Amino acid sequence: MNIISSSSTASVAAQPRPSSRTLGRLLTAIAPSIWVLILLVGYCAVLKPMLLQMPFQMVIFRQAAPLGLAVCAQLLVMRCRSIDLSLGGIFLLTNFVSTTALVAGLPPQWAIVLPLLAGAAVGAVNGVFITLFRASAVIVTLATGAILVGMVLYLSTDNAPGSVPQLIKDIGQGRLGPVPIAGLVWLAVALILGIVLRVMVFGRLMQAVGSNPQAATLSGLPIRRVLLASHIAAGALAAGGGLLLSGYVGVSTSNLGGDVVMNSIAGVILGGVTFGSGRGGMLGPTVAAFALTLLFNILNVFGAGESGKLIVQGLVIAAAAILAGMAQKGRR
Amino acid sequence: MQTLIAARNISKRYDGVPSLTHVGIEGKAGSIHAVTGENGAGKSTLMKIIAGVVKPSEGELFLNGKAVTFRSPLDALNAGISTVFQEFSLVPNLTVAETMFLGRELRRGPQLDRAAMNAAAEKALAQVGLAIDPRRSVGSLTVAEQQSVEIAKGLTVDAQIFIFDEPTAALNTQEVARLEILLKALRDRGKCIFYISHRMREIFELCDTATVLKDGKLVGSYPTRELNADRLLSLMVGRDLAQLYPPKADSLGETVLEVAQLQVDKQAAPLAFNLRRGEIVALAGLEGQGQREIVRTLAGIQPQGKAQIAIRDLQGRMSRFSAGGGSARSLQHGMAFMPEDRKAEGLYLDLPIHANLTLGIHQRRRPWALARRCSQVVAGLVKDLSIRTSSTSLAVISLSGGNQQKVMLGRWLAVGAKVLLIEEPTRGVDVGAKTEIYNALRAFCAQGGAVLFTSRELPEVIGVADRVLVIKDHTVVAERSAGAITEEDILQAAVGNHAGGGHRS
Amino acid sequence: MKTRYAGRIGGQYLSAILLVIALAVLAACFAQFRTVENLGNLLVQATPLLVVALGQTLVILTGGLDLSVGVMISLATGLIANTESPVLGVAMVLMAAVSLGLINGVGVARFRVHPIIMTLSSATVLQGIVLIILPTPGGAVAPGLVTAVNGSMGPMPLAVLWIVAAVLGGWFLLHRTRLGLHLYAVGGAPDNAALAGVNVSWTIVRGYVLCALFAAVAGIFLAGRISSGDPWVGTSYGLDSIAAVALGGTQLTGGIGGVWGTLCGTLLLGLVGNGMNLVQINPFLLSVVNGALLLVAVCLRRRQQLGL
Repeated sequence: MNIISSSSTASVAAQPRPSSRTLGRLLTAIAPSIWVLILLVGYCAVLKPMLLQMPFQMVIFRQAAPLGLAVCAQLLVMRCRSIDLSLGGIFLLTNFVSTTALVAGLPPQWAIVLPLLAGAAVGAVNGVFITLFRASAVIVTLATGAILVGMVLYLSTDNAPGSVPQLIKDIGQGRLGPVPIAGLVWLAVALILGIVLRVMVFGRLMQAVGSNPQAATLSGLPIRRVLLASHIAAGALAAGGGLLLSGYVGVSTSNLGGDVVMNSIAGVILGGVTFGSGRGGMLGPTVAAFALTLLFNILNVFGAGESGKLIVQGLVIAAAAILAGMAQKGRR
Repeated sequence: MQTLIAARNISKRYDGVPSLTHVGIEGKAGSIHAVTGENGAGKSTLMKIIAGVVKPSEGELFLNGKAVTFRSPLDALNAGISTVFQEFSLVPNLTVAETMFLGRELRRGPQLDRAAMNAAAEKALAQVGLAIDPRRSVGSLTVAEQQSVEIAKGLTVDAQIFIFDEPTAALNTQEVARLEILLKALRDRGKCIFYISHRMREIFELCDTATVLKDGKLVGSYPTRELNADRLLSLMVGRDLAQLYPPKADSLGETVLEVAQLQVDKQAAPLAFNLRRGEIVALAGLEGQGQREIVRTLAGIQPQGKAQIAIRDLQGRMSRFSAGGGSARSLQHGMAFMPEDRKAEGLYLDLPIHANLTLGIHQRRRPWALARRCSQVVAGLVKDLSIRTSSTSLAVISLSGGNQQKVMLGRWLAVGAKVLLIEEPTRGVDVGAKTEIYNALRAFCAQGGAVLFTSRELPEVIGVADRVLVIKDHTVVAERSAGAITEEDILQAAVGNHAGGGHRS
Repeated sequence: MKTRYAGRIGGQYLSAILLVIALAVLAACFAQFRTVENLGNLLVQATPLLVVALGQTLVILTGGLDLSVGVMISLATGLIANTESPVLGVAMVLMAAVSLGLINGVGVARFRVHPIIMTLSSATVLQGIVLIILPTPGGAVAPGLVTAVNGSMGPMPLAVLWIVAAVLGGWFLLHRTRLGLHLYAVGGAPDNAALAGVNVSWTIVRGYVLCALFAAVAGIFLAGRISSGDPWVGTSYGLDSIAAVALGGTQLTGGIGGVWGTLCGTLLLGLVGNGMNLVQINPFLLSVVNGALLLVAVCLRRRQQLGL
């Protein structure tokens, strides 16, 4: 016996939205970073076509690689409604670890593995404080970042600057034809990460945890383990970024990764992902890392200097965050 | 008696679903006016409109004969309407005097005049019969004390109209007596008091008028001396049961769920009950009597809730566990939970429909496993539950309430849950979708599952369930097969009314 | 530990106890600690952090956070050191603070940007502006200001007057004015506060404006201290001010805490720094210790939510 008589009224609610809204949804469906990149490329094409030449673009590609990995790290935690402000400290830590005499005496693979483990350990510490003690991610990662910076500066006060192992230098500075190896490493990692998140159950769990933590808790999702895993992975990814950058610089230095945190947050937000948004793949933030690096180089060419860079950085994040907030409000 | 406030032709719709339709009410000076009806009849909504918390979709309010509009509760308060809701509007980290005067603080120059506020607060608290220091923090007060503070707040404004929403729910006998003395004193001073309640004794002892609402419509306003408890109850219920409900189970299987030692918190008495295979059991009763806590304890998410559970699978194997180990453990054993507030607690609104449906499947597997597309499962669910959408890639938020509810249900059907624990299965769901959901629940039971649900809608309770447990004060006060119980019986048991003649107790 | 009168005063008692313990330990172990000179030094050094932490307290009470205070301090030193007339310099600093506070407040309250993101981005933009005004440390500060900061009245440094003024000002604001009550209400129960007629957005905006003003005053003091401008001098004050507030028992979720706790928290941090100085520990380790203290402070109160 078919009791359903009001099926017609029920289906009205699911009609597609009017076409005026479709344009808006198209705009918000594509990550802002892609628009920004198109704008920047267009700008160069018109005013400074020399910047679009391959060699310059390859330099930018290499420069963007460490930031790109940091953006991957930040993306993982921001998708879970957390944040990692210790990325700069992890960069410094990997530089320090990879240039110590200890590492110089070990087989070259350890020069890569040890810093990655160190980064993962920092992520684990962050994760434990955040999940077990329910401390605020902002404060915890700010604190661990400060501890890392202080430790590294202290431990390197009396030591002569060391040199980064050759293997890492080759990765950081080397090229495969015209293409920088660092950039390829970045793309490979981003691609794998993107596929993994899309294809693995963990990716679905992360999506849910970021979309509605309350529902995730009530429906039995292992929300604390997801957060912990994200932070550990973020730590390892940040260490990878630090290695790429150290490889390029070639020596131990205390001036490394100072603006990684800001730029990584900018990259994620420009890439279309905000706190509490379950959607957002890898493409947007990856393009954002490249777009930001291109932007900074353009500013340099125009003589903007450190101050111009900072101003643009800050404005970009604020604009992206405000637009994201407005888009989310409209959607709900 | 002079009419202090009148509401005419009030209608309110939430997302197109009507909550009040053309309701009118008049409050006269020197009167205690009961506003009653079963859960969900619209009493709170009507009072919230008068209190300025909610704006009506249609209709007007008249204060002392003049039309008024309230933009906020502060507006209403300044106009002389004071409200004491069930969820208090106090700020827990402030002192009593501070929260009473928040928004209209007394000042001496640029400074707060704490002395004056404390004095005024003390005076008002004394009138309410509460002798506490106004400098105490609100968070340290008991529920009853907080309620008295809310009432005292209205006295500091010299309100003419008071609204009380189920004021005696959290009070002991002494406190109730004190409240009644206060209310009568207010009435004798010419105030108008609206009193939302189900408690027959209070309605007939305190109130001179009773307005009855049913399904968002006005049934009528009557002087209480012309009514008695039975007549009032019958006005609140009794409607034509539309052919919404699928046929009940004709034969039930073995016991599939045994609940023992269920305690919602340390003070509650332990409960025990069973569910049989193919059975749908409803927990009915007034708001806040413990139904929600019972379901959430079984789901493992009630803090401090404990229960000993034994659950039997299709092969007849029993597994025992203690609930209270979190939702993951309960889910592992086959108890799936659907919360009342699907938007905030149940669904992932910005994720696509297929993601919401398949999350239950995914979460059972190892995190590093490949997440299969499960498109067949998704298609099957969409068809079986008649989820109306142009594409399963759309975000769940684009669906209507009924379809959203189906998605939440579908997630647990896909996972092979043994027992469904549902709070308000069709809240905010249109009529057509309701039937589809009931059919789906019956199909689930026919395949060997069992359902335990709570509902405010008595017709739904009687129409859908095989057995009804009426809950009052965290205990089961009545248990009957649904075929042998009427809405009035449920309500009688729920309010604890044994005064009506000729009724089974 | 809910006492009858605790309410929004919260766990500030614990920080006072810790402070007394730290004082006792240092006084007992180090003879140099007990000199008037060292104590005076301690107070002078603690003054800028105390002032900025008081402002941070206001914002944290509403449930927010301000990471732009450090850059505000740098900006203040830059403007003071670059302007001939001290009066004009101070006026410009205060105007800049009001603007910064308005921008932060509107971003957080009206556009619903998360406080971290909003204040981090405004800090970055502001740092860029600071570098334009003052690319390298330098400039000159009016002698009057230098004396007002570094001078003493007998054995007591004038900085103490600054401390007293700031603490009294903060106390008066939080406990005697309507805005103070609203700040607590917004942090404790924003929905109920809105129901009571409190303008939640405007309260939040004013919180950020006042925080920036306090940071500005701290920066003016610091300019007198170092007798020049420095575009990076304020950087560590962002994290340190949060540490001082958290150590003082003010909860980061909002609604609970206050001026006295922040005072204790700041002095505690100052004592730790002073102690490490006396033992001649490498100054880099100071930030390690501060970070560790912050981790401890933030674990003391269990929250409901996870993550941010």
